[in-house]
Amino acid sequence: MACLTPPRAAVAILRILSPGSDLSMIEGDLLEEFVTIAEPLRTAWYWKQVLRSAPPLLGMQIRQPEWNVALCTFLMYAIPIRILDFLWAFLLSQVPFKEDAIRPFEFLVVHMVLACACAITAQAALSRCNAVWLLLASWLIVVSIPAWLPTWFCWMLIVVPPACSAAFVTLRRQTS
Amino acid sequence: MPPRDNLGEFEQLVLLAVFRLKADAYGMRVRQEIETRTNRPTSIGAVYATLERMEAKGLLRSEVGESTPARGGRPKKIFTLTALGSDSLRRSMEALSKMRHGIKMGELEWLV
Repeated sequence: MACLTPPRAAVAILRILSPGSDLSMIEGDLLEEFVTIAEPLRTAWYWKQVLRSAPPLLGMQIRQPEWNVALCTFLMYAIPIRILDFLWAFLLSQVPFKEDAIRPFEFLVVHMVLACACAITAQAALSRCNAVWLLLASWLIVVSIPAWLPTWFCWMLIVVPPACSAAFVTLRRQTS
Repeated sequence: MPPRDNLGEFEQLVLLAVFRLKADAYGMRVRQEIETRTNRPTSIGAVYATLERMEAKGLLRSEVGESTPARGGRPKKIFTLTALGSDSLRRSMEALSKMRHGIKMGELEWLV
């Protein structure tokens, strides 16, 4: 008997890529057409549809408000850190005997990791509350905060950008 | 005053498919209609992204349709043209028709 179930891996990719609001409709549409296609071509057809749909579906998902939160959070975190980095380098260059002193590259890497973690956490918390993403983000935050950073500074970095970006998006929704 | 946004080629195809399909205009049927009539491979993702974008522009509106066993109990999203959508499509087709006026299809053969 012919198998009428779409390939599981393709369905899993589709679920990750599709925006939550349209996921069941897209899955239903693909399934409806999938059962009408002849057996040897069916699986390949489903995979082709999912893979070719990946870029537009990802674009759709990024346009969702939750992804605006993630982008805002990332930028609100990453831009000030980068500016501070330049400012710090400039100040050091003005101090005698400290011209060659630069902030270690690890500092920037740690902050970029934190920025990504914050963005994912904010997105996950405001969207489908995907527990896997939340756990991964929390783990990243915990392991990437070096002991030499003061606790208040870490908390400020973790809490303030998502809170500000969520407030920004809420305000924008109300005004539009 | 005409809106600034002109319709792209794929947007025109999607709007025409929605217009043709009437009450049966949902993702899968729109995709099939475009693929069958234009012989252009079309993905369901591209169709949904375009439908969503045009809904946001006010050219289409959607409602949740029936869910059938063939769809695994999942609902359809039925799209219909709004007045703005019809107007946009008409203007777009008029512009194309004016540009085509006086050109015979045979004259385009040298381009191939």
